[in-house]
Amino acid sequence: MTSYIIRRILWIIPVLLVISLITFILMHVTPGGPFDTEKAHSAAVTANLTHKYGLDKPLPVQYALYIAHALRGDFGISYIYQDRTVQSIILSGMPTTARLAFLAFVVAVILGVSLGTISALRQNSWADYLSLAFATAGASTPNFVWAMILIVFFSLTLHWLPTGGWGTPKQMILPVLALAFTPAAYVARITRASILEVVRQDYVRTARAKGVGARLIVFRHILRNGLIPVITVLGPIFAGLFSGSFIIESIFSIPGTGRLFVQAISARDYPLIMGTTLFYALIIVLANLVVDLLYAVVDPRIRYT
Amino acid sequence: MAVTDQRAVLTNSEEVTAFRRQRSLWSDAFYRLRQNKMAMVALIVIIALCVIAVFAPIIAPHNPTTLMPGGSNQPPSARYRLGTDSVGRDELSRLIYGARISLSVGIFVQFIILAIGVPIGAIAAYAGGFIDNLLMRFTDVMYAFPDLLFVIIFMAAFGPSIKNIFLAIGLVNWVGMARLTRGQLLSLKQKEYVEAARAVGASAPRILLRHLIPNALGPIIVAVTFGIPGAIFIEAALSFIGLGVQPPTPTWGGMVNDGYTVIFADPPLAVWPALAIAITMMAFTFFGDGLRDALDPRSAR
Repeated sequence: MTSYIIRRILWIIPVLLVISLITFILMHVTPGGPFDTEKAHSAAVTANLTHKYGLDKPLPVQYALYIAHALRGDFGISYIYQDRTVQSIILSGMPTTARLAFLAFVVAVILGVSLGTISALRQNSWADYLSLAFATAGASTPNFVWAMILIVFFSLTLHWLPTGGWGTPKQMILPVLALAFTPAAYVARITRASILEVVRQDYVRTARAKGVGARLIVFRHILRNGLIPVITVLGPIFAGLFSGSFIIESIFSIPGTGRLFVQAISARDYPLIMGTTLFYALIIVLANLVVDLLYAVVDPRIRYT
Repeated sequence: MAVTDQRAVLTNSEEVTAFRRQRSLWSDAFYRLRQNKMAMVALIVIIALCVIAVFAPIIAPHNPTTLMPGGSNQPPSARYRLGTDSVGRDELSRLIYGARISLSVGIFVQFIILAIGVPIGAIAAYAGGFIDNLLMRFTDVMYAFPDLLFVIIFMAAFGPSIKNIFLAIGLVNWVGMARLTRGQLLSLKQKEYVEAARAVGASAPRILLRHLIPNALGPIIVAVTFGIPGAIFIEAALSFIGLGVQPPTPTWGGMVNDGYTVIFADPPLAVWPALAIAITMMAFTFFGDGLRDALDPRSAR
């Protein structure tokens, strides 16, 4: 197990290297640089800036220098915010994005698992049909569509909640729900299917036959086994919430890393684009690693070597 | 699983008759698909959307990019059924033309995914060893690439044309297809008929193209169907942040964004395209569910 974890952690290094290389190549395929469009600059100033940021060096040298600095924890200085390092910019936006993604994740899992479980245990009841309708329709509704629906309903019609901003709990409700609903529906679908499967298993019948209480059967026998397939999708879901939050961030004007990325792209802020991409990739790899490890905890049949 | 499990089929009396009447896997699956009302409704919606997209110039009451007399943000009327948008263009006509972008992205991206994912998965499974390892490690790397970010960087690099949207989404989304193909082929490789083919001297490409891939087709088709709403979502998100097909070409994502800027004054402008996106994605998801259940009766709930 320990050697498995170490190997998985070491594997992160080549993954990030290849991703940084792909990003680097994509950023430099189009001719021109970030300082070409600034009208105020004279040719000499542009040349100076290009030289200052090392953009006049051959591309392989630029890449090698970037990696050499990155390995020492230096991800460069942003072009748009010229006095700030990339890590300080990402770190200042990250707590917001992380809180948004984490809250949405918790809501998605709790909502999805409860709806899926109720749905499966009360199969063909009105509760089942209601949550099934949410699960099937919701899973194919993009988060920004949820955002529109929620804003029109709760902000414009009922005037209960604000349409934007970040900080007060009231401002957090809509963006968190908009982000959480799609994965919640997905989790509900998987939970329902998996629990319906488990309910029919012999060990559940045995437990019932020997007189185990209904609640205990649900928690110890049904959920413990029925949630294993749910755990496999939690990694991609968390990663998706994290890297997919930028649309929600821009709809609700939330100052997170996502909005930063969109800004960085339009300004061709190479260090910031690179830094954010690598940061998101790291989150995805880590989320998947955690899920794989969780999997072993929940399902003792799985052994890692 | 390509080979129909007879035990599973025979558990249901309705399916026993189906099994007797039609024996081939595909007609069997087709029969089950037709029995599935949800999937059939979804199919009708998909066909209707395709008709709308193809015949947009005939169906749309107005030109989607010209300013209409009467100005912007008009309420729905007999002339403009859904009113006009914040610039003064006919909302309904834009909605109809928007289907073209969404559907073509949804569908063409799948061709790119197939063209990359299936060969990589097939070669990895068939070759095994070092090649398998190399291809799958590369697949793992691409899996860790945040897909929306990749698409955005790609679009920024190559410019916001529809061809680049196909490419960008396809280039980052083939990973699932490669893993699926590899998994399917690894188990099919063990089958006797593959061994038999090898024994009579069939070449590797022949075994792959005639024996292995055709038998993995079911799950691949299901994956393609589920891939369509995914691609539609990415395109809509891209247009929403303004990096998709450029205005004035109508895209649903772009229309949601246009509508959002005037959401206080005219909420329906954002809601119509949002609904269009949701309905289209839903139709493909339901149809995919139906296909999966039809092709693999054991997965049916």
